[in-house]
Amino acid sequence: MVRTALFLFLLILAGACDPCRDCGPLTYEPTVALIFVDAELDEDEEIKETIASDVTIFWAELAAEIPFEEGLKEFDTPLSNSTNGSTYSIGIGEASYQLALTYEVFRELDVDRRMLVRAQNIQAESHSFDSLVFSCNTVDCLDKETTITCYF
Amino acid sequence: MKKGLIYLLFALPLTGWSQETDSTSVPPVSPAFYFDYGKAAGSVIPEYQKWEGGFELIFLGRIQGVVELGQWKLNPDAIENGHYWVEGTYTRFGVGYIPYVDAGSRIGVGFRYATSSYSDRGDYTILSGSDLQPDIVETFDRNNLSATWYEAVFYSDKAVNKWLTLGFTFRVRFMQSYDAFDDPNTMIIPGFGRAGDKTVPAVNLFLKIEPF
Repeated sequence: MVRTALFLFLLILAGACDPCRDCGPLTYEPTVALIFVDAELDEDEEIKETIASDVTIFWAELAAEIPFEEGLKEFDTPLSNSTNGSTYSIGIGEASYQLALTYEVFRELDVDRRMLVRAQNIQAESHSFDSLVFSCNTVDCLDKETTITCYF
Repeated sequence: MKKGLIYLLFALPLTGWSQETDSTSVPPVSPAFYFDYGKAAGSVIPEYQKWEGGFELIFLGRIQGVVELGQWKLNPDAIENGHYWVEGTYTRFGVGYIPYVDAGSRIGVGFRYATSSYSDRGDYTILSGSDLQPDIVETFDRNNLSATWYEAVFYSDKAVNKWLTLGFTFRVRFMQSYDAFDDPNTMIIPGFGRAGDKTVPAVNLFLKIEPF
């Protein structure tokens, strides 16, 4: 019985030790992927997604332009980490468009024990594009898992 | 489930009593104190301070009424990008049926009702990836929290000498209620374990002193 007890004790002690190998600040920001497609293309014509060199995205509330790498076709656009909405002025070539998003910012401790700030139920409050198509991988339309295709 | 519990608590003791051959040598009530040396040994890790002991009365040599007291003070690695502390005390009340299976050994089952009073606090930092908006640096500090749960207990011991007994209990804890929050939720409840789990298995290793 004593041996069994000792074995169980060592088992529990081993399970209790879970050293934090890389504790420290985490870089994480909720984002939504934006894709810009010219809606005037013929149906037979190959769809051309607009690349970063033709696009500028200006975050209205922060009065700041969002930087993107050259050559991107999908723009991981940051969402607010403190308020439930954000508005963007988007320049594509000579044209300018508006996109206002609403969402719910919340905290999540993920399975890797990382505290994250996330956004869910991402929706368009208003926009000046021809149309928008939302693609959500989850029913909650979570950040990092939602793509908005903007037809202009 | 309920019928089985009622049998364990009432019918089984009576069955055992009828098999007792020398009941006159068993004192009607005997007190005992116990100390959880397993938790004490684990407390050599400064971040995992756990202490537990208890007092019990054994009626008719087999029916156990017990009060268990404990204190946890933990600093677990619960948040990768922050820190977390929790501390509190807990009390368990319960009964058990622990008859002798031979001259120096007892095996039995029991039931506990437990309450915990605790507080937790912590902090975390989330840096803005775009550097366009402020980083998030937040702290939380929550006091006067409480939890209640039940435990099903398997008990085994063996006498070392007339006064000292070594043994262990294997328990399954069933959460009843606790103060929950949006993330970061309370992560560990002193005396219970991980707050998100509805059932938690646990083992106690104890040294029991029976002075009389």
